[in-house]
Amino acid sequence: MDIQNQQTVKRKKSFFQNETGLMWQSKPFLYTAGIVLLLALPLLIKNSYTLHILILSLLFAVLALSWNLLVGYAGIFSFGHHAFFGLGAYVSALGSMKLGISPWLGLVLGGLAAALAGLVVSLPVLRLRAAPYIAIVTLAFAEIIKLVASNLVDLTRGELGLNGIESFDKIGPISFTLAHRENSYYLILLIMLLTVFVIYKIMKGPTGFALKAIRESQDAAESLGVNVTRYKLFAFVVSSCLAGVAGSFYAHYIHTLTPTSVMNIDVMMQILVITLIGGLGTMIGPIVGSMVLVIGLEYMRFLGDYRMLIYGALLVVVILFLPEGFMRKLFPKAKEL
Amino acid sequence: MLDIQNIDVYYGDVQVLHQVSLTVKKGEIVALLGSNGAGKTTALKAISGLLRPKNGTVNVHHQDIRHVRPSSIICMGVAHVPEGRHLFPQMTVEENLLMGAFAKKSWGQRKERLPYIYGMFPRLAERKKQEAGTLSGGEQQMVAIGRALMSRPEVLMLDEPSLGLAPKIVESIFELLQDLNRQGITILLVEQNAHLALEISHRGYVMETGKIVLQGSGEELKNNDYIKKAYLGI
Repeated sequence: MDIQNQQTVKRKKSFFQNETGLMWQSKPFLYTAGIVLLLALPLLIKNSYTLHILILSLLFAVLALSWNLLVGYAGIFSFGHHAFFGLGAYVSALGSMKLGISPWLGLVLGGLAAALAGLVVSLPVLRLRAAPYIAIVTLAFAEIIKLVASNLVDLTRGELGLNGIESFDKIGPISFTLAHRENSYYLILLIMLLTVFVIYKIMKGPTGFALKAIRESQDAAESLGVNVTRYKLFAFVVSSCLAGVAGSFYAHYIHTLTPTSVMNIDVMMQILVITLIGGLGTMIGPIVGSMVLVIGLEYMRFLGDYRMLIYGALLVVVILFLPEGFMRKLFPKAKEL
Repeated sequence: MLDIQNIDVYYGDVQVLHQVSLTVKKGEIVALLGSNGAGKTTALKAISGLLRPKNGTVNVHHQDIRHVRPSSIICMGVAHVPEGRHLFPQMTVEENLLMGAFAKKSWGQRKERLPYIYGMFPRLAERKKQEAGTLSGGEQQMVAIGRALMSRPEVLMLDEPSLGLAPKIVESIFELLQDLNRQGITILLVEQNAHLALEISHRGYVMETGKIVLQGSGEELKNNDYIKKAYLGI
């Protein structure tokens, strides 16, 4: 009798309390709530400026998520992620302007072009082990791509930039022009959810296991028969591809591209800061970080010239007091986020 | 079981192994002794496929493995415990062990192998949810050995299992190696602690600057004057 009672008590407890603590902290509950909130936002917010900020934060979430796959999970410290973003943007934009390729196909082409570039860059990078060297090589690569884009004036018009890039074609009555921002919002939300899905699938499978093992100790992984080169290559290519897709979306959403706007180092800095704030190596940390940072920065505009100063100070505070990022601070007990 | 004939191994242009030959028969414990930089680790890496010899042959079960991928070599029954343990510090003990079964053949049955490992190391069963980096040195060595055993090896190659461990723990590790040997696992042991290694080994080889300079049974080597002077400090 006693034992039975205990068991019921235990079961009740486990309904309200799981490994992460209280029910509102349970993963399925939070994830569902998060997705519902993201889906409902355009219905609540009619202000097109606010919607624009939200779209940008989702876009940066995709970039941070894909960068996190490389850095947080596979432990490859790439500082050239913005190059793949820019490459996807330019390939897709030029494809639609010069060759009349549909922007929808551009999403795929942008992703493929970035993946291909990722493959090329990863060949020298994978021979390097120390993080600083990888950082330097990838950063240099990004700088080269940017210089090419600004000097290939015949094709890209250099810093004058590409203007009047087409919007995504209508699907039935759904238009993706600037007048219908909510549709662009749903498109980037879809891209982001797919990104999360792809990364989640990878990390749950044997590949994820191998990537984490490589991050922890390359020597040990090798001694256990993990083909280190193959898995690193895979992570690099997938990560670049996702950044390229994000770039393609950006080109057809903003309609204008300059080398500086998509491939300047501050894009990389933003991706890095977002990931660190959200939590490196967590599944949804980059999304949370992106919401906090992009929206936070936007609403600090009233500070005028002091905005970047305050931003810097806040960043120092975050690094000092939240070195593991928001997600781990909020849910210290959860093993995987 | 393992048969290496006259291998030359290079790091870039630098030759590290010169005409090294050694054999390990089924059921043996073989010690590979030598000081720092003698090429012991390099020899192990040449067997597990992490390095490729320029000349000479490496045979496992009479099959030439010079062009076989490391993961396939593991599937052929050769497991390698790297020097300095090299755990995955932020993965749990259990995840570390599971990684040991990563080579294709054993991945499907990775969970079935765990009870055997936990039976051998009850301590690891208690700590299976703990991050491996938080374990003591001795426990980490247990994880490293347990991880290598996950692929059901016939030959276990250990690189300096006594490194950085307290004498008492080293002793228990060596007892464990003898136990494993009695269960039918062949062992190739790289050690700087020559005394202990020769105590449990059937045969031994001594390497110096990339060459095998001496070989013989455990007893013979222990009583060899040169070994006594150079390695045992007697």
